[in-house]
Amino acid sequence: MSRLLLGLAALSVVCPLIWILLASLRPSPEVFLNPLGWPDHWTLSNYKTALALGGFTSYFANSLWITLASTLLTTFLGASLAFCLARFRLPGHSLTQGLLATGLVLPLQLVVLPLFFWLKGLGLLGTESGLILVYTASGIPYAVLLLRGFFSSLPQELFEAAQLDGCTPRRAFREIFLPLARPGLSTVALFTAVSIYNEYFLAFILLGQGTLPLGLANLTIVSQYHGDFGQLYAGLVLAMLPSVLLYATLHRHILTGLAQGAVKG
Amino acid sequence: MRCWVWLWLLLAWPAWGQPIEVALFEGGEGLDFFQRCARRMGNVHCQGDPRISEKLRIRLLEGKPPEVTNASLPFDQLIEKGKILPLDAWLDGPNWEGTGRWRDDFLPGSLDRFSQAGHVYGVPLQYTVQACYYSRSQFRAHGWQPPQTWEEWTRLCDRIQRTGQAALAFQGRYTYYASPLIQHCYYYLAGPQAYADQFRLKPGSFDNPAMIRALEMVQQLALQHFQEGSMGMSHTEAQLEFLQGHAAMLVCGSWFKSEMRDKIPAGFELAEFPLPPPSGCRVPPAAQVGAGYFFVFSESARPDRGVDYLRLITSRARAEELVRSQDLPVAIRGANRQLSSDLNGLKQILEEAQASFGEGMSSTHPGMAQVWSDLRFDLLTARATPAVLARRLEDAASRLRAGPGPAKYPLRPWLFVLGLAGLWLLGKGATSNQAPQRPRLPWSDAVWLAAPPLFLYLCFFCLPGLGALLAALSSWDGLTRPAWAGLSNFQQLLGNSPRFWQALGNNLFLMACIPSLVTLWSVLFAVLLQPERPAHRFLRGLYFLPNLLGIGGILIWQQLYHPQGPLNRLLVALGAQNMANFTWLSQDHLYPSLLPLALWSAGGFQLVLCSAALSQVSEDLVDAARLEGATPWQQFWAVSWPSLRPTVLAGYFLLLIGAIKSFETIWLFTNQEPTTQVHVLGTLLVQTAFAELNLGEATALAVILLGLVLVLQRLLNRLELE
Repeated sequence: MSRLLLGLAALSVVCPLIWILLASLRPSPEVFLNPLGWPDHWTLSNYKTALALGGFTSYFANSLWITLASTLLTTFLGASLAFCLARFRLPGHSLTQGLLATGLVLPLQLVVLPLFFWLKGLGLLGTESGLILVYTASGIPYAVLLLRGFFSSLPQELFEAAQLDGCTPRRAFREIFLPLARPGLSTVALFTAVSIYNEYFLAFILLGQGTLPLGLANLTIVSQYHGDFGQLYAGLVLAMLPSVLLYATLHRHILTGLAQGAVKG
Repeated sequence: MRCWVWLWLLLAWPAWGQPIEVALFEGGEGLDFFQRCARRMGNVHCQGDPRISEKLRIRLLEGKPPEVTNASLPFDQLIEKGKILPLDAWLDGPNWEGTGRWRDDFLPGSLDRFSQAGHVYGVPLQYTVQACYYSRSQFRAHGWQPPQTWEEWTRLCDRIQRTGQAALAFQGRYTYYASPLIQHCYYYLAGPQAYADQFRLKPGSFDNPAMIRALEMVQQLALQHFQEGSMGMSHTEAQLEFLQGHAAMLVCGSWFKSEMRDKIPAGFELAEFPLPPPSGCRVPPAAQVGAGYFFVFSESARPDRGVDYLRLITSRARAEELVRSQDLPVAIRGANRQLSSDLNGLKQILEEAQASFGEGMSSTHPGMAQVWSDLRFDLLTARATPAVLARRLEDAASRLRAGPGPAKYPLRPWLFVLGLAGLWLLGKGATSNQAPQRPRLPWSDAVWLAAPPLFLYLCFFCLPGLGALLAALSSWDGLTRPAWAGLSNFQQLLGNSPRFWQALGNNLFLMACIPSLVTLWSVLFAVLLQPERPAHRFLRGLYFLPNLLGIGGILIWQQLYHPQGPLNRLLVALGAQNMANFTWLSQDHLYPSLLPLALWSAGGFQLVLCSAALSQVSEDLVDAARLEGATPWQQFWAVSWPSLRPTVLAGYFLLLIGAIKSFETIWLFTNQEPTTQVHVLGTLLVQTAFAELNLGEATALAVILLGLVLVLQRLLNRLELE
């Protein structure tokens, strides 16, 4: 009974993915007529059209750059703030914590309109750096939430020993705590990266065009107008490839990191 | 008028060498023509995009409009605000070739649509005529004749259906495609005068026998003759159904051939007949037309060059080129002779028409547009009788005539202050635990470690949040300066906006279903996967995979849910015959259809957390319980649940927040045009802000959203403390 349930669930996870992969390798009229069939003709032409179409490759490059930059910034800045909050008393400590807690639940929809005009005033509207700054700011609360647990759980003696040796908090953070918190950092980095890579709302309003989710949404509409879904299937496979590959290689770390965070936090 | 031209020339001189920008809607209607014209004129950057209106709305707020566009924007409103350049000075001047006045090149009446106070703001190029398309070869083979009257048409549909073929394909995902049918029936039943009265919202022009009859005719046609499953089809899907011979006829505007160009099979012999009038009707034949209008933004860098571009594309030679290359009628005199022979039906409609009508000629009141779009769905799916719907239109018209009434629940300022105080208390409750005594961080280090993240966070997250609170108290369209509006935005939303409550209701549905479903599933599977084994670890990893796919996952499911897509085929193969054309994504079934996707894409995360929590339960305890004779059920409740509870609650809370903030799934599943019934607060906010340019109300909506989240958070903190 439980085997059956587990197997069905596994099938329902895998089947849509296999279907899209197969559909992307078939000529699209064939998919339209017989969506469940096994490919009669294998073709890569869908991938060629998708890659040739409207800057799909540049969407890819933009998305990767924005994801990489914001992830690094979020993880590093989040870690340093989490370290301060876990080990020290800051001026306005509880206010800071309150602000961060609010940030966890603040709907992006609330901030997006003022942000739009704020970025416009700074000349950052429609630029990648503007979006990177916004992604970083909105990712900091989550990063702090996850990392504070890691920093508090490191032994207090370590910290005291460092202080006795005349190590400044700055150096202690950089040379002792940051390397020790590596599992936590990688979990945070991965989750931030995945959520930014898939982010649609802010990119749509603040950047207008140029990231992969927008490119995909565009591709959906273009495919509908032209009645040719093959390029969309191919685009979807291409867009999901980095996430799937990353997960396939690092899944053990991701799951352990997540589980550790859950138990500590 | 002339002096304006000189003034622009003067102001525009720094931008002299810059290319002007032409931003076009691109939906298969031949972008190359416009790009050829751009090259012919030189120094014109011409770009097409299927989502151009969304982008332009944002660029308008940004204050950087392109020179020329044909996107669909709230032009009546923009004209009022002086954002659109009046074209009279040029219309009265020579046309591009210099053979006459520019104004005289247009078909009569086609310049009226965007005229206000004696000025013309938009010029038409493509002209659309509504017609019914069929395959001449197929009609010949069966001995079918194009019908002369509506009654003959429905009889023909019956004959077709007896052969096992569907009669009419229909673009049901966009109910807008039913509008030409309704307008057609009403025009011929009630006459041109009564037809025009509807646009002026004249009393009695909706709830009358002719209107009820017209709605009845369309409802009958839809129920008896539309292809099964058509309510879930997009326009391209339905049009492909017609071209592949699954349905014999299709009602569409004259853009059809151009849009489906390469999809018409050989030997199809496309032909068209006019939508047939009801028998015994005395109204002279008229063409139902629409037009694609082009506008020049007055605040663009080089509006004068924008006008030049319009003069070029509407010149006789270029218009004929467009007709030839795209096989589309145009609004330019004499150019339609170039239409190809399989569009003879269209030519005939244009030639025989003694009058024209349609939304291309008159503007629907913006308030009515929403009422109509909601009504069409009810009409086509027989949710309501024609009489009820006519009554509904009449009521809506009389409400619009009366203007906005007083809110049902007026807000008092002290209530608002009280509300804010409440919010603050709630927010305070969110930060519970006091920091234990820790060393103070020296300033020299704080500057390096804590200041940069805090600065960024404050600048790009907290301050905008505060700004939103202010904007919510103003009346603001993003184009002009905001004005203080007090609480009127909240008053409008809470007391006078049924669609707000509708959207909130939809959010509540998601909040009630998704978190419980996902939590139940994840707890069950965490228990099933309990003894830690390699196989179990592998499965857990597999279930987690979709959580990383985000928008890709949503778009895959959109394809799975296609009425003729893999899911329905699978269900039919398993024996559920009635699922053959089930429309998962029509507004009736949309919300239940979101649940499997939610489970698929969020379940794994919860599962991993729950498994981690379960693995913390000491095995001795479990063994002890088993030895004491506890049933598995008792083991779970007494031993595992206490350590699972905090994790489950925290996950439940995150899912609840996700359900309040939901946006992407709805936005993408409805192709970025949700109807009133399926909005959630998130999509309603984007529509209010960027489609209706009502930024004050949109931010007020966001503030209410925040309030909801904080209330929830407080409730949950309570639960966890107990």
